[in-house]
Amino acid sequence: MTSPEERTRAPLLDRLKLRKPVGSRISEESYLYGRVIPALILFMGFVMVVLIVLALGVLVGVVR
Amino acid sequence: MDLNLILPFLSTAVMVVFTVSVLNRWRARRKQHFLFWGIGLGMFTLGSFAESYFAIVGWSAFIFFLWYFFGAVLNAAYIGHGTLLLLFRKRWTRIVTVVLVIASLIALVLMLQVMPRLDPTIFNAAAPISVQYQEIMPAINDGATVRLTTPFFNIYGLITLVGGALWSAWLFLRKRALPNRVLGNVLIAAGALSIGLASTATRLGAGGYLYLGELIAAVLMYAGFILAGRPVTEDESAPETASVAA
Repeated sequence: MTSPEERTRAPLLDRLKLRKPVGSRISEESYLYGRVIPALILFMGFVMVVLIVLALGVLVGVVR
Repeated sequence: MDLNLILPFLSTAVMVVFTVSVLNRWRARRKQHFLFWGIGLGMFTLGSFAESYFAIVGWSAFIFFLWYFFGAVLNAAYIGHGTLLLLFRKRWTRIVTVVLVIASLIALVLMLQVMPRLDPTIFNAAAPISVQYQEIMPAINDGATVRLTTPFFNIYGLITLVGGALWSAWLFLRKRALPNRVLGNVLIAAGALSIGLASTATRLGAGGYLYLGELIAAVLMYAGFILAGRPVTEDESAPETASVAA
């Protein structure tokens, strides 16, 4: 666990826990399924919502 | 090398293989979700084929009908509906199926109504059809009501296909099992989002990315389908295999 001060100073990728920690004993496979894929799923879910909102905007004429 | 020819040709080739694979599974197992996936993928194939046709042969009203009705209006909804049938085996899905078919028939009538009003003089074989279709078709308030149906079908397809694939990936991830299903569904969702993004850009006037988006979608979804459908090994079915970070 990092302290709030360490977290604010750490690079973005480290704070988001997407970069594999140096010296970590977590296996590559675990890191993929534990960090990368969940982040991808969340990101794609967000993109899906944006597309739905855009499509609704086209439907009601707000977006041309 | 003309990208307007190469990209849809490659998409068509990938989608033919993909569609045949899925329909073969339907023939073997007779599950409804394979049938709807096969129908939707077949529609996608027709859309890609139409784009190739425009680039090679030129204008055809019938080919435009195939491109818009199957490629732009229906295919996302039918592929997504297959995912819905896979994830939910309840009676209410039959109602949704009936609604989808009725809505498709209504869209067909609207599409047939607009066909005599297309303006083929605008067509330019050197440009993607996705860049020029809005000028070829009349405006929505000028008789092209079918254009209002695409958001409904596409939103439904987006929620069911992308949402369904992401949800499946999440479920398998939480169970810490079947890592191929996790990756496969992530690829399928990524492919579906690719075509969703390209279609949205087309609708907003940036139609130059549609062919590339289709090819990326075809490749990613097919790869995801193969990966997710791989036979489960004894190791992969063990919960400890897909371990997550502590």
